[in-house]
Amino acid sequence: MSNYYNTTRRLNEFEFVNNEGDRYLVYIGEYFLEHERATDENDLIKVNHIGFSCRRLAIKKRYLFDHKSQATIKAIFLTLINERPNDAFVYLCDNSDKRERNRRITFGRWIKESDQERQFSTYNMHIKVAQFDATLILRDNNPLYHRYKSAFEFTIHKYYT
Amino acid sequence: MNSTKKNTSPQKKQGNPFAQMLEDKAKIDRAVAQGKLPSSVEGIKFVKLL
Repeated sequence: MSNYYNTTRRLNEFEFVNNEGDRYLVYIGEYFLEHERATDENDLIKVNHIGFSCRRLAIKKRYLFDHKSQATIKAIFLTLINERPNDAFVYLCDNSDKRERNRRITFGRWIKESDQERQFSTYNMHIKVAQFDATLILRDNNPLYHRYKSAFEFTIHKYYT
Repeated sequence: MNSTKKNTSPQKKQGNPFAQMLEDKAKIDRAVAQGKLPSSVEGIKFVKLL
C-alpha cells in the first residue's frame, strides 16, 4: 500500500483527495521582494509563495490527523522545490485561528524530516505586528542564496518595523 | 511616453508582497472552500507546474 495519495498535477496546482474525502490543493504564486541595493523601484527579486488549501468533506466532523495526507503534501512541496533549485520559496503561517506558531513549527519539522540530504536552509521570521510567520526556503547551493535571504529580511523590516 | 523600466510587474503596484500573499491565500482558501480551484481566483499570478 502506498504511503501517498494519488495526485493529479495540473497547470496551476496539484490536487489529491484523502480517505476522508477531504480535497487538498497545492499551488505556487509569484511575488516580488524588495532589496536595499535596488537601482530603481522595479528592481525586484522574484520569490515563490508555496501554499496549500483544503476543502473538508464533512466540515462539522472532528478533524483526525492523517499521516498519509501530511506525507503527500510534503512530497509535493519537495517535488516543486527540487524542480526549481535556483528559486526561493516563501511559506506563510497566518493567525486566522491563533495557531500560526504551531503551523510554523510543524512546517519546519516537515522540511527537516524531508530534507535527509541536508540540502535546504530555512529562515523564519515572526511578524508580531501582523500576527503571521514567514519562512524562506532555499537550497544551500542556490547561487543567489545571500541575495534572497537579504531581500527577505529587508522587505519584512521595511513593511513591519 | 517611452518606458525603460525593467522587470515591471503587477506586484510592484501592490506594495507589500507579504500582505499580498496573505490576502491572496485568504481568497484561495475561500475559493477552495466553495469547491473551486486556486487558479479560479483572478489577479494572482500562478507559477506553471507543467
